[in-house]
Amino acid sequence: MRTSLTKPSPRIQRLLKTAKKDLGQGLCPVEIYSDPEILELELERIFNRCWIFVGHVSEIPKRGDFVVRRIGRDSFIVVRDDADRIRCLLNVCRHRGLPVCTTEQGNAPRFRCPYHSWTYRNTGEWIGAPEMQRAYGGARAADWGLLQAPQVDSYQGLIFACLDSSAPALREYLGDICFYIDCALGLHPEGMEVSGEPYRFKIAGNWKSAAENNVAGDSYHPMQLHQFDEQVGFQASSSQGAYQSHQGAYDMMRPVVVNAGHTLLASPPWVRNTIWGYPDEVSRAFAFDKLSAAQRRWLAKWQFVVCGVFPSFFIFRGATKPEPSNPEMPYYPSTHIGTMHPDSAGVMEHWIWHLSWKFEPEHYKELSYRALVIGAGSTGAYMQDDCRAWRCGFNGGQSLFARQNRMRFNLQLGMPDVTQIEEVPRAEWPGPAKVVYKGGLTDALLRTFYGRWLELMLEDARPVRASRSTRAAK
Amino acid sequence: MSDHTNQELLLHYECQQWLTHEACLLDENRYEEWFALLAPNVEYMVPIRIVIEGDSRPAFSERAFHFKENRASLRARIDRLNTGFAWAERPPTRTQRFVCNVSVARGIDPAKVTVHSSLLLYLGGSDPSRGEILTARRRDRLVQVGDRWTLEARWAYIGQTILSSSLSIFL
Repeated sequence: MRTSLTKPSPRIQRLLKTAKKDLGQGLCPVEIYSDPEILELELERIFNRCWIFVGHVSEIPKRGDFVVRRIGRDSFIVVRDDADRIRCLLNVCRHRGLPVCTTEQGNAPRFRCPYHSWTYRNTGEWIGAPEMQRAYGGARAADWGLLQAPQVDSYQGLIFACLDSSAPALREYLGDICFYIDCALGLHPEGMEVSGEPYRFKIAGNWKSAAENNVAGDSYHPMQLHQFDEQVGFQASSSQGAYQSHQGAYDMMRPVVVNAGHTLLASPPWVRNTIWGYPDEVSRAFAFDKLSAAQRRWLAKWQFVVCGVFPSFFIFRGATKPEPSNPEMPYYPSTHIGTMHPDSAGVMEHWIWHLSWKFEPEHYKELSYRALVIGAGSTGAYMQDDCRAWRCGFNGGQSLFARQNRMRFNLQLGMPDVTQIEEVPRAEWPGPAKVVYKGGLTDALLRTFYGRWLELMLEDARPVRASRSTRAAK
Repeated sequence: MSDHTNQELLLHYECQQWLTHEACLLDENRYEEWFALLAPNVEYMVPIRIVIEGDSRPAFSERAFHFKENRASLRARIDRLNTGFAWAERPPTRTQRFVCNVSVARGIDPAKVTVHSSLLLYLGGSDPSRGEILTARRRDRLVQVGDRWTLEARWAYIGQTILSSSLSIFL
């Protein structure tokens, strides 16, 4: 299923060439957020070549279980087939193109197109049509199965699909970011599970603006955009004085360039001497035997706020409480994962899932879920403000005057001529990383994101191999 | 008309007036007055609408919610609006609520009623040229305290499966 890539128009080639020069200086041309041709190129060169998150294994535990998901703008059925293999089937009938599944979730041994009743097994195989023998006696079933992602795999319960058969395997694509995914999701043999169906909502804005914030963990904005929380106190990070002392909040952050566009925004645990802020009655159930010595050393001192997998997936964990005025209620870690899909240059669809540990006591699950509802869910306070902010890129790119004046956004925070920022010495950081910055006053993770974006947008040949980081931990 | 019918009409009228008043408070961003309508043990729930294979009835998640609130968390949401830094509500969403299809049912407890209504909600957001429509069927439980009614439970069942934006208002 390897297809040749469309050659961009001369105008877009010029834009990408300029973007390369600009990004080298920490500048980002506004057109990349608003140009429809850029979006078409992104769909082809990024979404259809990279590993895209499509769901969690706990959403489809039984054979025949399925959920309908997106890759780029396309609809796919993510199904655990009758042989227990997870597949990702294009939701388009091979006969004339209707969706073969018009629901969002369920359990089905097969999918039938309502138009002419072409029917497929949940493996994607074409198994029948009316008057099969008379009508299609000469056709080969093998030629007419549903198209499906050539690669589907999971890591720590996270299911990804890749539409490019020549792309590296998932484990290799993720590379060193696995170290940190393990530290977040691999702390118990039963693993984590979704707490219910995901949030889905549209956001006016270009998908990359959300990715800058969520995948690349923009460390400069929280104390500004979410300033309300220094008075309300949903999150431990804001209520414990960090927001009032901006310097302190920035100093605690450790932006980490991991590899291949994958990044981490790390920090010390908000609740001191804990693992991720979990109370003892939860963390004593954690099993660390699957982790390496380096991972255990990292966990003893660090956590992350955001772990971003290029291009569009993130894991977020923060110590939160839904009733800030209630002194009886502890700040408790709430985990969510999410992804964003472009509808057009100016509209995206955001998906968020809450995760809890299977073993987690019910009242903690509930506390952590309610924290998502009020924080980063569809009506959450943090999400409301983020959605307002993520119009930014498209808003700039839409302006003719901005484009006429070659307006470029500023991603220069943390660059040598602009900001004095130290790097964390290797000995102090037990995890793999290319660079770890001491403090949040840097756009380094955004520049990393756009560096990877540009490589893929410019590169005509093979994609997406995650190079080993230069600082791989033992 | 019998006394019984009169009482039923009066009750229906009171509940309808209550919903109209509530819609007015929310449309005018009078959140403190709205908060005063809530019972101490209020539950405020908006489950996520889902579409399940083989189910012909409207389906809502039993586990996933747009809102899953009690009095303390609703208080915190209003506190946020009062900070002056709730950017999503600066300027406030322009809303207009149309409430209809009201029906009132008494339960065993004479001080409590279950009120069903339909809500058509217009949302004017940050783009002044565009507005959005959100619909919901609501099931409320009102409790009579002295001469006024308070909201003890609201379950709002939104029409949309995919919201057209995140929500910074109440339903």
